[in-house]
Amino acid sequence: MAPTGSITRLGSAVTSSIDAAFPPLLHGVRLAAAVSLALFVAFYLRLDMPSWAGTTAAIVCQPVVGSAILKGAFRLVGTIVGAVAAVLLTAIFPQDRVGFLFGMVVWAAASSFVSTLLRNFAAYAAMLAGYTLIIIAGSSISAPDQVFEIAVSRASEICVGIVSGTLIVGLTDLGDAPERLSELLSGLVAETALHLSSVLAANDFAGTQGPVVRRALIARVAALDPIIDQAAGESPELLQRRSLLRAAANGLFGSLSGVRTVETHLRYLRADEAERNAAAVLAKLPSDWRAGMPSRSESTLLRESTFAVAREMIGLRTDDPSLRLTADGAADAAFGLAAAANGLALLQDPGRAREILNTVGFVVADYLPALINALRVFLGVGTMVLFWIATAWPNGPQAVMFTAVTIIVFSPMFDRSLKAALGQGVGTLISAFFVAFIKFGLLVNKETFLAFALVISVGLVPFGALSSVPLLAPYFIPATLNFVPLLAPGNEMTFDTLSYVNTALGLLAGCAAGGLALLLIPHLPPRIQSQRLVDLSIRDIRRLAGGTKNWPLHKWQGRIYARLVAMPETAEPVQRSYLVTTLAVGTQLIRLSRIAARGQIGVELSQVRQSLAAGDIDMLRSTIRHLDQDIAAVPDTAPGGRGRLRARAALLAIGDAVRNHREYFESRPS
Amino acid sequence: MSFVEIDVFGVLISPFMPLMTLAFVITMMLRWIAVEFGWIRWIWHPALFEFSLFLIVLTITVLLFGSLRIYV
Repeated sequence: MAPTGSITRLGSAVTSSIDAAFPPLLHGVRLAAAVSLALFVAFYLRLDMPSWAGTTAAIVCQPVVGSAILKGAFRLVGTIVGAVAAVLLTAIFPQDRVGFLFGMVVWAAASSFVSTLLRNFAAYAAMLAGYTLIIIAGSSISAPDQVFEIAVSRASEICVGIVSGTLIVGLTDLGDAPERLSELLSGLVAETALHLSSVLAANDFAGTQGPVVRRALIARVAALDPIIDQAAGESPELLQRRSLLRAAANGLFGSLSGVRTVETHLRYLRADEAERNAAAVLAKLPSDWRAGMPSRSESTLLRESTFAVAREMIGLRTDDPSLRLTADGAADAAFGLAAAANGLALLQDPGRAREILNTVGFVVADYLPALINALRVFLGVGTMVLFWIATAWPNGPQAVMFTAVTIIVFSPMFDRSLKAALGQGVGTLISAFFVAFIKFGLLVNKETFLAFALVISVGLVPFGALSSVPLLAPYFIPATLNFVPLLAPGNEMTFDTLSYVNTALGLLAGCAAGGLALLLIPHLPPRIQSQRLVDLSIRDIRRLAGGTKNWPLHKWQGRIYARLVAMPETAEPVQRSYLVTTLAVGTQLIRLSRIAARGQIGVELSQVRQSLAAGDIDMLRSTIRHLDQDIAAVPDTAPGGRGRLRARAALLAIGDAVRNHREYFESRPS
Repeated sequence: MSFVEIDVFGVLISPFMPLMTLAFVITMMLRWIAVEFGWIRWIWHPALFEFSLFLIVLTITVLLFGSLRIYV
């Protein structure tokens, strides 16, 4: 029995090892195939520098799938824009190297700025537009009269690489981001619903763990953003209807904001009153909300039932503003969950997902990180250009190119960029030794392309496989990317060791300069980054209250959602709480203004707005109290009774929020 | 069937370039229709489908323009 058991264990261990090794190996094979295809086409077309085709194929072959044609098309557009810019820049600065180089550095910085602001495909395009110009300039600076031919040649090589890489990756990998997103979204919907019912069912409203649970949920919702991008990249339908996925994530934020309103209000009520309100609202919630939501296969049912809950909450008949506020908060939570369930329906049963009318559109959470990235590119590439001019180093252009590529590619990685840049140095060193072995040990006397492709696969397959292992990725992704430039393949291969050492030196110097730029001009520390997002939000709520900005509800929500997503992972939980509170206060203020505009309140709101804009919380609370009394004094027989009740509930919500986070609403942006 | 280069302000461009662009635009329109009507859901491998569709459209475009002798 014992030997059979050992054999079984050994067998299962071998099977699980093969299972674990298969995806990285597949990635390595895919990478080798893409680079080989790009080089084959470049050799066949007799392009000047086939290595750029191979290098671009390796860059495109990241382990992230995208909608094959569209993603490739965006990259091609970026390359063409960069090539056109190179030609125009040469035409604008004929016989003027200083002007040309300055323009080149400014263009690279501007591309980096735009690529940090944009997301997904458009960000890739901006990045490529940036370094394509530098790659072309590297060759054309010594022969400006041939810039057009050089631009066409470099752009063709890059395009061959993009098409080869995109085809191999797009056609051989289906990806699983939609399934992962679906699982995460359904988990978050269930937990948010459970959170609302737990808040309402609590025994002690003052001592609940609600804020802790909610802050963790907010962080998880914010983390959905990159997965939404991946899922949209993998499915044409999700790409075309991605606004529904964004609305789903935003719905979860809105839902958590609704729960926060309910919980904060219950906390400040007398125990018996809070219990009565909570019980009245809890009675309207479906029983399965308390035990987790219906299963994933019922996403459309879930959406309809959640809508029904929201409608029931809105229709709850009462003349008590406190119960009105509790029901309205629960309604906000249910509406948000319905939007999330609609996103889930798009992932599971796309035919049943409903289109939405108001999309948030493109919102920039904070311009400063993009400006810092642009400054880094300007100074990093500019310094390398000056070094090249001062030393008249023959390999200077290559060093400038790789400085630009390193900074532009790694800058948007934010807190991971420094590690990536350090890994770039180590990875390039590993690659330099390994490529030397392949080039001078294995490639000599290999005449056919098949033999060449097999030999480079000896390096590319293990490098690619190791680059998809998270722990080794910072070292082996750069090693993979620098493999082809170091090898410098051509129709007529040269095996000159001195030229190889010079190329490796230029490349290493470029990578080191790029790493140094990332080290010396670091990203904003996460603490400052999150504080800025909080400060910008308090500034916005004051602008909204002061009337200098009149954002409609969906635009206001879009601004705060963008900041919640931009919050660094390491942000203080309370900072996320501040943003959700700002969201709630702004939402209530906009609703209040709408009711006032219809003339249903019969009193003036300007003092509430002024004291909120001035950060005078004592004045605000006293104004809210007086205003509430004034509205309550309006006889019930006067028209607009429901509007007045909603206005009183909104005033209560604002009062609760500023009482809960007084220090935040009183603060001056730092 | 024969093609000649297109002269854009003195720069000669391969006739294949505008045909590829046209084929790409037509492919994207067809893809949009396929998504709107839900046909894309029946496709096992959307990326492979897109690429094949692009090749078909490109071939038809080249044959059509070649037979019309627009670039001759």
